[in-house]
Amino acid sequence: MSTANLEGFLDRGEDVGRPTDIAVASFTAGRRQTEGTQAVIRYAPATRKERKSEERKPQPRVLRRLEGFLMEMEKDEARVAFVEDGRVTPYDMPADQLRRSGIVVKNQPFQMDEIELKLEGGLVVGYRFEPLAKPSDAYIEPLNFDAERKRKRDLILKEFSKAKA
Amino acid sequence: MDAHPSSHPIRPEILEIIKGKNLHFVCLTHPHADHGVDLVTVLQRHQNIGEFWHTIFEIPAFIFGIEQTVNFPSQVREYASKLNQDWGEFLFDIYAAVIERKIPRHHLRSDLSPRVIDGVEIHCLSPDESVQNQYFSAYQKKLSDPKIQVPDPNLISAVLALRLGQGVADVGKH
Repeated sequence: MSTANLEGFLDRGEDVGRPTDIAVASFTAGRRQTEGTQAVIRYAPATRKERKSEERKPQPRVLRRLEGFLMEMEKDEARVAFVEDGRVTPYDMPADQLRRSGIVVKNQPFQMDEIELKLEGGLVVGYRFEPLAKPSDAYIEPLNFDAERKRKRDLILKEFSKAKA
Repeated sequence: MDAHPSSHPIRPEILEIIKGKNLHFVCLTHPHADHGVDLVTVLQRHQNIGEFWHTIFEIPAFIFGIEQTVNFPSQVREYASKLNQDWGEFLFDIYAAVIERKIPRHHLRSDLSPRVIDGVEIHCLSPDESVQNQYFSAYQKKLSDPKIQVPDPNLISAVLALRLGQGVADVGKH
């Protein structure tokens, strides 16, 4: 690192104290040299400064993490399904937080973290949502019915087409 | 109106509960499986059913819509897929039972005149016709764009008010 670079490096205001110029002594064998220093670098001892408040944001601790998908959403309410150990549990919740997290399409998968945050005033427990796929990742998945259900389907279509006509 | 199997062990099977009773009507308030799975058994096997009341009128587009489901690549994909499949099968079972047993159908809408059954006045308060049209027009659009989002079936949920003398009870709200 050149002296210039070193000076630039040490000029960072965040981690260093006030710089001091020091002379670098050089010696010639058998003779003490008292003049003509070769270079000057700026030296400042590292100091630990108080960090700005935003850098000291408390980090949330994840208490529990669940995966699920959106079943339906209507106005202020949403129904989601959580999948845990192969079991599906429907759950009704306010739609707002899901919407704000970009979870808006039926069957869109997401992750929900139950988080704990220690603040000066106490302990806050809440939920954090993250979509595991974008709405644009959606693909069409036609249902696949057995012969009996296909028969019923045809029966229904025949009956209601006739009724409509 | 609406029936779903209970996980509570003391509740008898649905056919036991209605055994020997004359059901003036069986009502599916809206096409959600958790409101109607037990109605399938009733409609398939109970002897005395007067009518089937429901809120779906655009069946062919609706059938197409439920067959063309949307899914996402993820670890929970198979579970979403299973729910879609169960929903489709539930609807096929319930409507096929009504057709096969030739149970008369009655389409519910809020502008219908009240019916009187055994002295009980039955008023249909919801769904409004415009809401139903809005719901099923989304399924019509889905015929040309299967990825289109369709409204929630709760939107077309039937709400009935039953009046007997001075007493009124409303049923069917989601």
